Amino acid sequence: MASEGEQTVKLVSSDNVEIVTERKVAERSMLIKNMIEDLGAPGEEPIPIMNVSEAVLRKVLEWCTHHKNDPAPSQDDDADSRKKTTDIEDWDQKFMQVDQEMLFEIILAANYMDIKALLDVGCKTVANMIKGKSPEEIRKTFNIQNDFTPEEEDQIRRENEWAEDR
Amino acid sequence: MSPTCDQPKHIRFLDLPKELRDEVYQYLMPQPTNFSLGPVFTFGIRPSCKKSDLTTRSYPISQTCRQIRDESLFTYYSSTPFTFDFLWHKDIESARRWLACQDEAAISSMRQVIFRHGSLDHEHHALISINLRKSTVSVQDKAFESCLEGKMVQRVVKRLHEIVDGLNRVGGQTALTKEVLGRMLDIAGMMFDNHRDQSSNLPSSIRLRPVDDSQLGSV
Repeated sequence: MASEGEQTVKLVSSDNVEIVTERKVAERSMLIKNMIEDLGAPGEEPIPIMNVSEAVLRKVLEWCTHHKNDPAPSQDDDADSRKKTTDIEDWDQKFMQVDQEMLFEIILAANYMDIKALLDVGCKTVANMIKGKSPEEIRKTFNIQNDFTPEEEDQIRRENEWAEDR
Repeated sequence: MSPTCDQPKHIRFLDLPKELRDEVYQYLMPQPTNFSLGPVFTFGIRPSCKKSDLTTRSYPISQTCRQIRDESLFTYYSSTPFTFDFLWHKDIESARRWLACQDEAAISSMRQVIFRHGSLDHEHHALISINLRKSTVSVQDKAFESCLEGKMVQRVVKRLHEIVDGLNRVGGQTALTKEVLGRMLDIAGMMFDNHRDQSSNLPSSIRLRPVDDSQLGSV
């Protein structure tokens, strides 16, 4: 019998494309890991990844392949949200250089497939796209409609003015 | 990258599930300015404290549209312990001016307020912490309990407790209002010399901080 590292699994995307990948790679996804444990016989039965299209699934698996040997994150890594930085390692930064549509697709897929580390990288990438931009620039970047009433605009102005009043 | 030809739909930031948007807001929240006090914000006027760090200006995501504003302000105000760092009376006035500019909804999201009364040398201070999740008011420096200033602290704590107890609970959470936080600032101000305020029943000798008025001239 093949060891776990050499085993392969068959994944099926939402658009019905079968992708064969290493079990170790696929198991970066807790959704798949749990499914394999439930199914018992990896490789034989295809695993449906219902919410993720082929293009996105291939992209996600590319990330999982690069990170297949990463150590498991420790429990308290995320305990203090205040210490959150948006630092992203070089390889991940390049990996995330995709159009906005694909970026959001990757984030949704990471969320659905339960790949915490990829989800973090995705959210950090979005945060980095926002950092340093003015509200108007953020609206432009994400096509957000300014729907504030004049009263709300006034409130925002007051908040900003406090900063100037020394 | 190969283009996707399936399911042509446009996902936008607001189409992400709310918990993922919250995740993004957390990376964007203004960061604490004074780490020596722990992961908190200081309020008082200090050379090391930039006022702008306590405003939503340094949190521009909150000024983009209504929905994002509501969500991002809640994330920021509910998870940030706001420390009001008072060295002298002027700091209370500064805090009042800050409060006047605040969004009522943002203030109602606040869950932890800390009043820090102290000296410039950081050796004498009292931290009075108000936890609105648990509806508790506590003193974080036990050394104060045994001295004269400690009695004063206890009086302030008692008054703050009365306010917290009287707060309305909305959906199981105690909700702060600008008016109530204003009253809390007034009570925290009792810790200062009483020659000018309403706390005439307090002995005039009480001074928490060893700061003389000549130092005020430089502010």
